[in-house]
Amino acid sequence: MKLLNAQTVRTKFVMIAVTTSTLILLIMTIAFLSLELFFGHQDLSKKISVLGQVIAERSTAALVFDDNKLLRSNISSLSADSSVVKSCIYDEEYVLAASHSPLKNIKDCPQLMGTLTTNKSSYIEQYFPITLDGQVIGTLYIACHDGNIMKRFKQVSFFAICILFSAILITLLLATRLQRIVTSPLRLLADTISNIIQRNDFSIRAKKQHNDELGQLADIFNELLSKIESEHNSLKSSEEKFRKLTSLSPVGIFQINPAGEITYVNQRWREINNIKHQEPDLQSWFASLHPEDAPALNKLWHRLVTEHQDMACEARLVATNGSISWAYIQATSLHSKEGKLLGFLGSLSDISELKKAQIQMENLAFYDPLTGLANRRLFKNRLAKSVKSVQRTNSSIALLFLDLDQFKRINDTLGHDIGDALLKEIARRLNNNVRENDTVCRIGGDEFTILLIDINNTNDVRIVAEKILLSLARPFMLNGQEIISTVSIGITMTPEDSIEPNTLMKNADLAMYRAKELGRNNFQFFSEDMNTTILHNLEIEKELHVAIKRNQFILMYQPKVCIADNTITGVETLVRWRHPEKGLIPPDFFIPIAEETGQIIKIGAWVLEHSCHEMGALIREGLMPKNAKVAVNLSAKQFSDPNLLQTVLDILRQSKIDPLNLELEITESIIMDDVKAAISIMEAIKNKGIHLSIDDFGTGYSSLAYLKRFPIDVLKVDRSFISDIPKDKTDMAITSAVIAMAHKLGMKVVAEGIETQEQLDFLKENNCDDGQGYLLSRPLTLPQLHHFLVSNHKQIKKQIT
Amino acid sequence: MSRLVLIPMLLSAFAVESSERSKENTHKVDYVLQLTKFIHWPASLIDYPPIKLCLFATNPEKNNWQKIHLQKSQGHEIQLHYINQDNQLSQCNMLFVHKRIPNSVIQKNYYSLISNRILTIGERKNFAKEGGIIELDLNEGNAELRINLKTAHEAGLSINANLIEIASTVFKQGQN
Repeated sequence: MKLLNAQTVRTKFVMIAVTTSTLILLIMTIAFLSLELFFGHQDLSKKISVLGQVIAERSTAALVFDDNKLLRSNISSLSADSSVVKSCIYDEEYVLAASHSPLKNIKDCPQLMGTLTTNKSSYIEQYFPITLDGQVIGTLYIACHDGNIMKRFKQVSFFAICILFSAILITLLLATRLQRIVTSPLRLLADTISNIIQRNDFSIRAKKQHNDELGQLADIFNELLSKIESEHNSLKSSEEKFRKLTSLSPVGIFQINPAGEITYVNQRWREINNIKHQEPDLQSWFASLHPEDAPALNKLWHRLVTEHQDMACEARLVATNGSISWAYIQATSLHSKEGKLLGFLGSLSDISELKKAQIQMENLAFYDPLTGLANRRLFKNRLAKSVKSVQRTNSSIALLFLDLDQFKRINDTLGHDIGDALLKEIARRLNNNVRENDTVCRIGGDEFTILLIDINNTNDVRIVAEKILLSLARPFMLNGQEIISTVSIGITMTPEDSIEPNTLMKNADLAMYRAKELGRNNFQFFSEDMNTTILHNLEIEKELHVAIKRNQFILMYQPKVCIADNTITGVETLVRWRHPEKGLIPPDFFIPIAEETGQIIKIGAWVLEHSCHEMGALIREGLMPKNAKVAVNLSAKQFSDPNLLQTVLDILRQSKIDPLNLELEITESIIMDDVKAAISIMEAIKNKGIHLSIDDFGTGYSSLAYLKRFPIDVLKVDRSFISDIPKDKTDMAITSAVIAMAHKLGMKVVAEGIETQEQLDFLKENNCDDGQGYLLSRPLTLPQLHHFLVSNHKQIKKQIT
Repeated sequence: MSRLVLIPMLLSAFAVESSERSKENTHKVDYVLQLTKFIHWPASLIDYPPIKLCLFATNPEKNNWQKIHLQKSQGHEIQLHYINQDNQLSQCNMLFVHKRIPNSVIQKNYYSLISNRILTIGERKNFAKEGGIIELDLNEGNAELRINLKTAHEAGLSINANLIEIASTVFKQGQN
């Protein structure tokens, strides 16, 4: 079979035809000869049978009447048939009656039939009973030789073999001729296909030779060619479109065959990869990947090749000149309809600009655009990671919370540009004072945080904090101006203080406030008592809530006296909290908490309402002059409350006093938080005829430039300046200067904290308008005030009389 | 003495002759029986078996003939009958005529024999020629047959060709 398969169709055709014909003819010849032999024997048997029956029939009477002559005559007639070699007639007792043997070399018939033996396969023997009246009276034996049959068989065989060989020869000739008929058109088709392949020309058509099946095959083949030509043209057109499209594409296109060889790239691909003329090579391309990106891309590529899993990733390409560009790479596997892998198709996009923008966006998302420091989000991430790291490594980290002291004032007075420049410089200095692994962050406004990792002990942190304080203590030269900015630092440690990032932030914040409380420009480590303060404040907040509901507040009034004539010009209302268990609580203990929690709005409104109400009563009673003023302190929250003016006007209307009888005291810091807004609010108040005074003047950072713009009626000189009079000449100078300046600006001056006669005398000498202090009167309850006013009234009357 | 020797010899010769004769007679009966098998009687005659073989009562070999009685030929029993007078011929299908009986008996009863379709077999010389149908001549154990086909034909009997073939003489029409 292998030999046959290796032959050409022509040879196969001839071989099959000749072999088939030969086999068929051979079988037929064998069958024919076998039948010839069989029928030869059968005919001989039949002939002998007929002859035997005739002879037997004819020999009846001769045998009965012992007519041996006739018997011999009968059987000798068999000699006419040359095949008969012996014939014998035996009587009823099987004794030989007559015999005939034409051949000499054949034994005569034996006397007794029982001894009759021939047993030659070439002999045909037959026995015929000789019957008379239904009884066997004898037996005729005839032996024939099949020599004639075999002779004839040989002759026929010879003839058949001749026919066989002739037939084979004819078959060979016919098959050869026939194969030409069949294979000639096929060869023509093959030649046509070969031509098409060589020339890649699908317009070539096969020549049709006949109108038979092969002619139909040629027609079908030509139809197929037409379709292929059409599809080929369509494919070429599509491919051309694809080429043009890819050549114009802003995306690099590449195609790779299953062997991993790049078979096509468009111009853009070459541009992105800086490959101009040389043939692209996949290995070289992989070599151009950034070492950090190569492993991931190799992994994806391996999945694409082995599992046909689509890939998409970003990677950096390193050019021969060392420049790096970002590329977005996508690739997919191509398969035939049968699922056979055809190769891989992919795209390559230069996303360098996009990546740049992305990095910028990330910077925006994670970095402060002004200072370039990490922002709150990034800081929280790093803090969380560091805390986890601490838990694993048993090390310590420190969280520093920095708040610039008086930054708002700088921002407002010197402008935002200077403020921003200051923040940038502070950021730079902070960065210079920490290690590379530490994180400095601007979490908002003037607040910074620093994460110090791998800390051995608090001393390390202390050194860093001191370095920061020293660094920031140096004056900043911004826009030709020298600015001094200090910072308050709160420090917390993990795991010592907490392992919870939010708690750590809160701890550092508390510590920072403690630093602020302790005079700013210092650092404080977090301690548990700070938490205790918070708990205490929370308790106060709850109790304040109850106090507001149950009117547990009382008002104290400290009279203000005209220093020149010692008359009462008004009172300053001071609020106290009469706690049912803790007794009388001064405002310093609860006002800051009320301010922080917003409860101050309600408390302030209550104070204002009762103050105005009592002042109205006192004026109406004649205990206070008609131009007397009740001074009520406004907190920052109250001052910024948009309903402030309306609340005040409502109270004035309800208490039926003139706006001139009300003086609202605000501190410098409240105004300086937002000067423009403060001026606007103050002007609105002032326009209603209500007086405004600046409380604790001299303790803050009031700008004289702003001061003249403030619609202020009164300056209250802080007790800190008064208390050291006459010891401190500076305080005395400042006080006298403030009084003079206020008078120049058309403001009255009230001195607070007058406790000695010398102080009073000094103020009197410097023409201070009003005074307030223990020397003149302690804060009084309403009844005490009544009594004080009545006494004062009598004393005045007495002096008059 | 010579007489005494001659007598046993004569007796012995007689005995041999007698024995030969007896053997011949036996063969004769057998031949007759076989002959019946070559004869075809008209169907109407032998529709009703048996085949009646008649012998003249004067036949000296009655004992030998007895063995043919009730033998079968062509499916029919052969019954042996002895007749004394010619008028008894009508009851016969066959008539064996001993060689002592002259052929004239046949000639005299020729028409009766023919009309009764009786197969006549005789031993006497020229039996077939002188009106009999089959002349059986036994000579030294060999049987020689002469057949008068004309008579057989007239009697309506047909004789098997095989028998005719072995007959030494066959008388046909016009050969009397």
